[in-house]
Amino acid sequence: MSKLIEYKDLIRELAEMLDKSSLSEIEVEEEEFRIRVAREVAPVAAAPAVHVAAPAAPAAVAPAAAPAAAPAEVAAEPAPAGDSVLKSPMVGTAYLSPSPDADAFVAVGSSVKEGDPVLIIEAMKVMNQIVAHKSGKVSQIFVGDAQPVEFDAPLLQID
Amino acid sequence: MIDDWSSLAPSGTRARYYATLASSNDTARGLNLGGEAGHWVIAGTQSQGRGRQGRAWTSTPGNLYASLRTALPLEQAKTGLLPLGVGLGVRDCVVKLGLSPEGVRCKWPNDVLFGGKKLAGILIEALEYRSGVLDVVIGIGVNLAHHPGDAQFPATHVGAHVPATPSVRDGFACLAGAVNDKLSFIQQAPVDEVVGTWSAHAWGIGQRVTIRVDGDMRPATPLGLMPDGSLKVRLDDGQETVLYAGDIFA
Repeated sequence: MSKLIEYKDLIRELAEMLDKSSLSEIEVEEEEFRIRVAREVAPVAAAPAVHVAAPAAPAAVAPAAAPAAAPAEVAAEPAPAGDSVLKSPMVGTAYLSPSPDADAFVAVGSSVKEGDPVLIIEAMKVMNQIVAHKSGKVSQIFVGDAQPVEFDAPLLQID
Repeated sequence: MIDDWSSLAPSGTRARYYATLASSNDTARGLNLGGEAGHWVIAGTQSQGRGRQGRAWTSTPGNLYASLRTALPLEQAKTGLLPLGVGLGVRDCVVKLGLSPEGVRCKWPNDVLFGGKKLAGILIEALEYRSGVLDVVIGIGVNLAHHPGDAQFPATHVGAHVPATPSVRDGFACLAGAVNDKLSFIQQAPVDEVVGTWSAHAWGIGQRVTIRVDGDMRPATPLGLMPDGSLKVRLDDGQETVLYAGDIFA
C-alpha cells in the first residue's frame, strides 16, 4: 500500500492539471501502472472528475502492485455517461410530479418507454414536459423536486 | 353541451365550447391536432381548473377559460418569448374589450394586470419541441365577470372597468384573434423587437418589488427583459441575477 500515497499525489496533480487546461482527459502510463483522469461526460458545472481523490478511488489504483498486465484505470465513480443520461434542454426548475400532490412521474427502478413524460422543467412559467429519450429502466435520478437545473445538467439515467 | 365556436376563431383554427370541463388544458392536451393549425377548448366552468404547479384556479361561470392546443413553428431561441407573447395577446384583448391601454400592464413572465391587479392568468404546457415546432397547450383564464377574492395577488375583472361586462363568447372571439396575432408576431419579428414591445407594456421594471425564488422571498428591482425571455433583477446587496422561474409581487 506504500505506493498508494504516491499515486494519490500523482492523481491529484493530474486532476489539477486537467482543471487548469481545456483537455478532457490526461493519461499517464509507466511500466507498472497507467492512470487516466477524465472530465465527466455530462459536466454538472464543468467540474473535472476529481472523484479520484475520494476515499473509494485509491482502491482502484491499488492493483498497480499486481502485474502490469492489469492496468488500473481511474475513471472516477461511474460518471453519468453516454446516451443513457437524459440531460436538461434548458435552465429552469425541475419538478418530479405533475403537481405537488400528485405522484412522481418516475422513481428509481421504474420502467419507461421512449416518449413517456418523466419530469417537468419550468422556465418562464412554461411547464415543459420532459420525455424519456429511450426505453428502459430508470437507474438514477440526479435532480430533486423543485430544484433549479442548468442547461445540459443530467436529469435521469435510463439503462 | 358542446358548441362549435370555430367561426369565432381565426381561419384554420377550430374552437369548441364545453359548458363544463375538468380542465380546459387537460382536454386540449388530449386532442389529436391532425393537420389543424390550432384547436381551442373553451370551458364555461371547470371543476379542476389549475394554475402553476397545480394551484387551483377558481372557475366560476362568466369568466373565460380557454386553452389553445397548437403546433407552433418557433425558433429554439424564441421559445422563451412564448409566455411574453401570449401575455401581450391577452393585453391586446382586454384593451379591445374597453380597458384603458395605460392601465393594462404585463407582469413577468405572463400575467396581465389592470391598475396593478391581476386580470388574467396563463398556464403554458409545452409537450414537445421537435424539428423547430413546439407542440404546446396555452391555457388562459381572463376575469371577465368577477374575480377571486382569495388570490395570492390582488385581482380585478374586466366588467368592473367597462360599461357592460363582455360575454364569454365575445371575450373568446377577442382573445383568439389577439393571441393569434401575437403568436405570429413572436414567430416573425426579430427578438429585440419582441423584447422592446413587451418592455413597453411591462409592469414593475425599475420598481422595488419582492421576488420569490425557490420559496425564498427577497426584495429586488427588475432591470429588464433578456433576449431569452428571462428577467434581469438587482438584489438589495447590489448583486444582479437572471430569473428563469419565480414570481414577482408588489
